[in-house]
Amino acid sequence: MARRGAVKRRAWSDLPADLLAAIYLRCSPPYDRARFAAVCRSWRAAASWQPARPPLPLLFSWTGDRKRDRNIRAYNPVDGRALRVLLPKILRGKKFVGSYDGGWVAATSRRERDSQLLIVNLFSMVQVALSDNQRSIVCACPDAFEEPDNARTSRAPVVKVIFSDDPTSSGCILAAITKRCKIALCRVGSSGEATLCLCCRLTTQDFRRSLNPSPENIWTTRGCGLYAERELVDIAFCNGQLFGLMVGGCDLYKYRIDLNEGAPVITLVYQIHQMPFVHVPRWDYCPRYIFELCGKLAVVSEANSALKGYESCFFKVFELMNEATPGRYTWAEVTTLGEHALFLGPQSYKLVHVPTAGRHGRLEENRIYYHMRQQENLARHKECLTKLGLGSCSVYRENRGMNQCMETITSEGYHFKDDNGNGCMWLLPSELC
Amino acid sequence: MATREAGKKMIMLKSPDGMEFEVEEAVAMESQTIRKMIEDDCADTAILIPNINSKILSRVIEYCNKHVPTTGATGAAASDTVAPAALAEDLKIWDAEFIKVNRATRFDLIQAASYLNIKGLLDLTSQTTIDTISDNSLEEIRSFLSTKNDYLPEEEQTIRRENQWAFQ
Repeated sequence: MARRGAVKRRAWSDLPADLLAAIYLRCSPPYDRARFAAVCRSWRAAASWQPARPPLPLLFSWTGDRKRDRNIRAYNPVDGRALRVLLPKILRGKKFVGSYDGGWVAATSRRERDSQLLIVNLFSMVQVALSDNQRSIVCACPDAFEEPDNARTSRAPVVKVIFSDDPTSSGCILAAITKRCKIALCRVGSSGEATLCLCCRLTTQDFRRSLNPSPENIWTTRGCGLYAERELVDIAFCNGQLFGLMVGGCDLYKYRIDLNEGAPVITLVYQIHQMPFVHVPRWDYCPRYIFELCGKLAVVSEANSALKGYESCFFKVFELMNEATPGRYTWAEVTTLGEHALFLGPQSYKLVHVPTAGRHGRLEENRIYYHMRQQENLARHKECLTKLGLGSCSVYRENRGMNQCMETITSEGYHFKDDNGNGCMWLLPSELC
Repeated sequence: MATREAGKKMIMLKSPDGMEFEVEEAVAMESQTIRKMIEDDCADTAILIPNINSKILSRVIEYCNKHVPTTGATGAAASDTVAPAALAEDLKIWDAEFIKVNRATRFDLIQAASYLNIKGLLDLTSQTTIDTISDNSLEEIRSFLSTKNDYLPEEEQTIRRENQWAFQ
């Protein structure tokens, strides 16, 4: 049976399944796999027979400018490509304060006076319907010293939001660090499932009409008037408990969360004063992030120096041992992350399994990838920093091995100049199909 | 005929349209399918390659000729030799030129690479296909690959919505 070049019409959809599978397996980034599956039915079938690969984080960056944020970029550290992201109207010009696996982001407006919280999935364009009470955090601290004049002045602008669970599940609790109260908690789902709506073309006004407010869910706040407890720099859920790290890293707080008629109640369980500090000459050093590492609470200490002309840093990771008995806890340094890579940032962290056996391009196991806001003009440091093509956002990747002599776990930095409202955040996409 | 003596043993490859190609055994053994035939002593006089016309077969032989390791004249060492960096770079440039063909030829090449089981050529042709997928819009991909869109409009809309990032 001879195939004659010009005579027979070539149908790529008729390629044998094993050949299609061979092509599909060579598609490494998730978006190429998604596009492959979208070509036609037989290609989709070939793709569906292959095992799904766990998604890897993307570095999502925004300018904070309503017009420029229409099309923003998500950088894939695996192949260095940047995805174009068409942001829905309600998210343009917003500040992103947290993310959850599967493409969920939490955002607020940049103006603090009327900041409203939004939770949207950037992949499916689904928004979690929040009631008016859930959208803005109003101080309700039991120990607040002064009575606020009105609701507007008692608003607590959000700095960071974390999720205890998927925001579509009824058990999801949001925890937030705010500029007014130290910590705030709220349940997302109403009595049953969280209400979802699609937000491709809707504006904020349409939303107010479309959702069923669940007024029983309001934010529980804590911290105003409690002068013994200091402001927090990071919070994390670990084994169903909430932990908070003090600014400056001197104290760690452990909180218990109870539900009182569906509303979360927060109680301080204990406070740890002995934090892992290491003296490094000419480097500022303090605990900066907390996260859950294989069921244990871990703290990441950041050493910081401006020796290079911009702020450069490296990290040490410690885990909390004997956490259940407050008097006997100790800190043990984590010298390897094994087959995991840690993605660090002020708004969210991701601990991801990246075995070297799989193909992950530039990504490597046992590494810390972080992003950092800089005050300096980064374009002057061409010998250390490489600019990434991220549209309107200027983000630079630090060349490998800058501080290698001092760090236990190798780190790789993504730096950006602190301009008007811009920022970066790690985001774990949903598995595209 | 499949003994491994030193020197250059020649193999005859026949395309279904009657053309015959005489190639060195080491070159032919770049194809795992042909290697298996030779090792199983199924290649007495000439090997008939079904499904691959003479035009494509000559291109495949051209590829194998270029990629056969220079040191391993015998089949045994063929696939294990590591080329130095400069040679690898040179091969890369050559590959890029080699694959600059029309889509019909590329379609035949990828099928030939799959049938003859030539890993390098399959990598090259697959990568070109993937590049087409990642650099073009869905409509362009379909027209380039001459595949018909057999999704219903609603299905297509759902796919695009659920994976909107992939289609920007």
